Amino acid sequence: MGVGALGLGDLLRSEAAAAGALPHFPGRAKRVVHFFLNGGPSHIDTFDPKPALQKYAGKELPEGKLRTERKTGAAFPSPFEFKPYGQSGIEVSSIFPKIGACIDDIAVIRSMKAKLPNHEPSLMLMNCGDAILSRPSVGSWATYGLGSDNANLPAFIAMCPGGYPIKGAQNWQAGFLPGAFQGTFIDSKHSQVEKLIENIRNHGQSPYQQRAQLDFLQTLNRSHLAARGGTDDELRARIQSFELAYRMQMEATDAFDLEREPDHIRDLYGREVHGRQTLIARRLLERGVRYVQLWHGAGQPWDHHDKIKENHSKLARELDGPVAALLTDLKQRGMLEDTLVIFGGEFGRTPTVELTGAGKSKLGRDHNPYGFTVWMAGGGIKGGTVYGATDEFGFEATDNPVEAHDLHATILHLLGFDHEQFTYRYAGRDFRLTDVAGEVIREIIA
Amino acid sequence: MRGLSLVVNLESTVVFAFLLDWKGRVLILLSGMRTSLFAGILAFLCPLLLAAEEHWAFRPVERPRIPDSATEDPISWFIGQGLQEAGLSGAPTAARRDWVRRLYLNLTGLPPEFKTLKAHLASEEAERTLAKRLVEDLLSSPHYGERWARHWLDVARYSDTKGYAYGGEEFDFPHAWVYRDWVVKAFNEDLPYDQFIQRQIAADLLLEKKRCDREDLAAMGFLTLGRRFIGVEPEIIDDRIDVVTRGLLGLTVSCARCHDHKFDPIPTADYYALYGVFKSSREDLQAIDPDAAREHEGLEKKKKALSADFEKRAREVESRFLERAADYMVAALDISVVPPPDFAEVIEKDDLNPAQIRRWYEFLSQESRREDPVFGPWLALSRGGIHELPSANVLVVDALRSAGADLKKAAESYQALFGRAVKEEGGNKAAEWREIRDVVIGPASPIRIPRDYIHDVEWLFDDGSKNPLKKQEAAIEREILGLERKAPHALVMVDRGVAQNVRIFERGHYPTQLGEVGRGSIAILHGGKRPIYRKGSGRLELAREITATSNPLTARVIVNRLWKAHFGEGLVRTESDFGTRSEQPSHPELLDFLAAEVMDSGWSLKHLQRLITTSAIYRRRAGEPPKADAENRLLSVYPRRRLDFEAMRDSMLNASGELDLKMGGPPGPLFGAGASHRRSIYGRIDRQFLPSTLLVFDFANPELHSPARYRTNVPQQALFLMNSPFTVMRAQALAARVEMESSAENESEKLSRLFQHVYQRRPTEEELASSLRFLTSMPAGADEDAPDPATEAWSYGYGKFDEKKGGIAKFHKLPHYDGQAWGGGKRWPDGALGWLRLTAEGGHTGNKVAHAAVRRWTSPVTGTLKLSGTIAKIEDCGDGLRAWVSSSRLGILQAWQIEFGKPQSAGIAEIEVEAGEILDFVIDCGEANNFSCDGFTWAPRLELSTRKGVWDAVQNFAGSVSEAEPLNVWERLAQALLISNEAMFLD
Repeated sequence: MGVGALGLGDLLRSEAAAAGALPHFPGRAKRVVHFFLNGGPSHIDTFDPKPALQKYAGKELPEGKLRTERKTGAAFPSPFEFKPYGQSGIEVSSIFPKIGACIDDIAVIRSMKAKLPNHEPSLMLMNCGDAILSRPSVGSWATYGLGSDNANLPAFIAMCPGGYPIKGAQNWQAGFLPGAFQGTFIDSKHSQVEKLIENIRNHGQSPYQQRAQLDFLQTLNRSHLAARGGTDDELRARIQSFELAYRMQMEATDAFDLEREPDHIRDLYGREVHGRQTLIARRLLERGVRYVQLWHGAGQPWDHHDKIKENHSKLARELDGPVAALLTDLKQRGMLEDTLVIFGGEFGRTPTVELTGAGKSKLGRDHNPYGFTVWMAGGGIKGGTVYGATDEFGFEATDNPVEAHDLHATILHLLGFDHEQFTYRYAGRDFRLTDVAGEVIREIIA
Repeated sequence: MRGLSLVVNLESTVVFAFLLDWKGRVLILLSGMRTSLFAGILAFLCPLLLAAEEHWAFRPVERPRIPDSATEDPISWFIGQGLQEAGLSGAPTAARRDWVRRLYLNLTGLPPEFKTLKAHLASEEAERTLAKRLVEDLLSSPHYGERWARHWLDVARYSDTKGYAYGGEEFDFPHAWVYRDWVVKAFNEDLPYDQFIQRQIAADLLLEKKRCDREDLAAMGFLTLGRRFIGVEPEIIDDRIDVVTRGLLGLTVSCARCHDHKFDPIPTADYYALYGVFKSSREDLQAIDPDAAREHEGLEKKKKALSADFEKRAREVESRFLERAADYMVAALDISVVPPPDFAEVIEKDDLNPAQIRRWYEFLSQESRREDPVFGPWLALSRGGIHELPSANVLVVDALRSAGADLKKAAESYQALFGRAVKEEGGNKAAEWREIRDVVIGPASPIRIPRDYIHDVEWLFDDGSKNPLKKQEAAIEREILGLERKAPHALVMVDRGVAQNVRIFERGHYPTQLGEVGRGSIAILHGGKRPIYRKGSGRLELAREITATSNPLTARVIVNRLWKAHFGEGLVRTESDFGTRSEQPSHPELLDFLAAEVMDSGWSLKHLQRLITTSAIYRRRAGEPPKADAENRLLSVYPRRRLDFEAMRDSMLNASGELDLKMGGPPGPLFGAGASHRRSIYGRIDRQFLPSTLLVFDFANPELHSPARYRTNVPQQALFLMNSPFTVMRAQALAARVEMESSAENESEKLSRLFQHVYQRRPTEEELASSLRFLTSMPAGADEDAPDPATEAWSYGYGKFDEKKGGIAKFHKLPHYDGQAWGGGKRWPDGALGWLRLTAEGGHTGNKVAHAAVRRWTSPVTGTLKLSGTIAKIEDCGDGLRAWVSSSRLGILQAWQIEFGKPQSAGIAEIEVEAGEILDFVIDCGEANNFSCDGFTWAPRLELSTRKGVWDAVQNFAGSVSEAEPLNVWERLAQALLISNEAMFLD
């Protein structure tokens, strides 16, 4: 039986099984939700306190600067206070108080490294494991390996309010994997289901009429099948796919309708767009969707070259509540233990202040690929952990540097895959998400 | 295995023996062993060592002998042999309509018209005679080229856009379609496949020899229309090596980028030999007809302006390169610390430009440079040797004398010489000065910036100079794109002024360079000895080598691709990998027979098409294969399969009578407003934003060479067919077509035509009956419009809210719906109604209190309702908003003042309503008439508390009736036919 004979759910499973890609061992996480703070949030102002910057405020750093994209000047201490939270006492910036309150469920990796100081290649690196070449995204690999638990919904969904982030659909591309593993994009600015999923609604017919049309179609299809021996797998699969699609119309409407949530849950997440998008994510994960990526907004909203105090506060306020609500809500539903939550951007920002062409301070920070923070929670993660560190000023990851391949290896490990064995044969070669590198960060696994 | 050296002494003991592998590496060294034992070892090892060279794909093509009785239809004989050996028999011949439809769809991508098919069915010719005649007709149809070009475009990773580009660069290729049209024409004219390949690799060089026409320059889109990889040279070259080697030879040469190929006899040196070929070539944007292009003044003006600015900026950069030549020479001494070609930081004017350091390195690291009179001394010196070489330029020798072993000083001496050389004529040392002047301004100069296509040299500029040049180039390309067919341009390859070799990049990493490899191609094609190219880049030599009849791969790979397009699977199922890990061919002799046929026929692809499509097995019935051959490798049945995206879309447009058969030219959008009705091959392919519908239907990913399409039946395909505007519009057009062609009220006639257009046959009695049942099963009236009653309850308007009376003084309906929102007109803000707007989730108030936004709900029921919802102001500016809910019976039910950041819950636990009563949800800009920043969200939801019934502003939101006209029953029937299995499958 060829791939052609199968529906989506079957396809996802059988493709992977054929390639020997089903989990290598029982995974700690069954599903993933990834908050992508596109634009490059500053680690120094969020999860990586650098008091030493205070000492040099307004002065040159003693150890000089690493090469950045734009001109930067003197040391620029964070305008935010940090304070310890929870049993672990991990320090979090005042712009994320609610996430701070969840810190004992979180492992903070303070020593992430990317390669280039530009958004596009860094987005590709963090999402697909290669800065320049076209490779499948982490979500595509995960759905390729694990399949879907709900044949009526796409297995991998990327939501972003207001349109595409930079690099668009390439952030959730299937690359050389079959197109079925590509992320389905949803503009979460909308709340009408038909604007959320392509072709999910019919405008020309009532549901009753459409059912009647479908029945007629299937009558034609069944007699066509019978005239051809009645057992052709591909013909049967296609008949089945219309029934699946019909059910998907109902199921998707249900998954995206937040009115079906009680008021206290809607209030917990908040009624603004990030609250809505995060709550939709939970409803999707509950229904068996494997990988949900939540982007902050179109373009690159976290790219604060100037006025970091005002700008970071504003975006953090949008996200703090929804993220904490999700952690709390997943926990109370018993889902946090097998849901991996990832939070981070494509790189960090400089500890030095960005300058205008004329050399004036912009009160913001330039891109910094040499060191930044990503955190993870749930799904087998050891909460209340800090892993790795940047130097005294937060310029460069110095202790236990973590590259994208290491992060990806760890994500795959938590999902039950040995990243070195998890391959796809293409162009005569067995490709891996982690290419020829990557080590699982055992220290953050419970 | 390359060789065995053996010395045997008189006592029959092997003194020593070497076994060499195909790269000439010593595999085994043996000595002092008894000859008999040695022979045993040899017998064991030989099969392993020989495996690579004995691999079926690398062996010469041998035309198999066939019995005389089989010469009429050799393909059927080969297939029959396979079945016979397996003890199986083939299926009988298919019904004529099946195999005729098969021929049409496979050869042209379009189904036959009913009348044509009917004539074929009525023909009294024998099957084979009819098949031959039909095949000739179809091969001479222009639609043949359109169908087969699309297969080739999968191989060529065709896209109309570059993928991501930066710095204001134009995203669209100037005239990718010129390549696409060239391919269509090549198939239609049956351009011999060897010429087809040669022109795609080296049309520029063939043109110089007058071996092709100027319009053949378009063929080189095969090389140039890959992704741009943000301008990173090693990635661009890798993509070109990949498309040439996998696409034409079925060899995965890109695997050898970082190390010798793990499984195939392809050393890294092969990869870098090819790399040198492409490194010595560059892109150029050329008008197909330069004289005609010059007539477009706007374009000419822009080109001249760019060229003047380019000249100015290049001179400025060159003067800096000259002033800092010593720094560059020193920096180029250690390439391991130079950043590799990559998209990275900004380059300022006073920086040492890494691209320029690399250029110096590449210039100086040519093996031939050691004997160079000017740089021989420098290279000797840098290796710690002496610089006084006999062949050296005396000016250099003199200048270096004072520097001693100090490299920095030596470099400065060179720099001084370069500076003087520009001015000095040199008197009696004219020749020596000329040699030095060549370094500064000669064709191979590492200082001069070639005045070439800007994207080829942009890295040599600092950002301040580069960006304006890129912007001007973008403006030119946009102008060219705008001129469309009036000034076709092609993105071609041409040789650089001076060809160069590259060194192997250890582990694929530019900064770690090993030994130089001469430009050439793949050793295995020449018994393990790689030829060295000496003519320019070597592209023409490469092209000729690929198409040499002694090369067994090219013919095997193309006949296999052709076979796959007809039978769903290739004889070799790893279509772009014929290496040692490939699958054995199902019919090796047939593969060789076809390969021999294509070469012996002068590389005629149409000849091959004839052989395949007139064979008896091509007319075999479709069905399920026997259990003993479950994958149908032996072809006992014809493989039934779903139409691909293009054939599906084209067939639907064809059935509805809308297909526009105009050929060639710029692409149009496949979907959405203003979508083209032309054949799918003329749809715009944007590799950066590939429409998800294409992905859902397994379209070839244009990012990279695509060996084969996946074949899936995912439910998203069904969703597209059930609900997309594309399908709905085809159904409407088809129903209208049938209506127009038939006499009124004759339902059987209409149904018959419907079936003819979609299935090319009349309906059976049973189908007629079930169709009639479908037509009449809907209660009359419900049929023509059946809008959702929940949607009907809402209307969208404006008016002034009268607080005293507790309601809207006069309700006006909003006049315009734009697909997203109701508002004053096409433009927003509207001339009369300003910012006033209602969307599913909220909207914007009008510019004055007289223009309050009103979402009106007219109750279809009597009962108790619960109202829920939240009102929020979107922006943090302007003043507040006022909002009310009022009832036509009870007046104001509740009122709110709304400020930014304080969303208000707009809920009422119980509202008693009577049928026909009106609830208005009103919001205005506030008494001060300050309407700035007055966007809001408010989507009320009403729910009956005693029984089922929900009216939700968001879910029920709808545009005007004309936006989404309900389908009538004929249209619904037409749609079902269009998307049914019979229409979508090839039997």
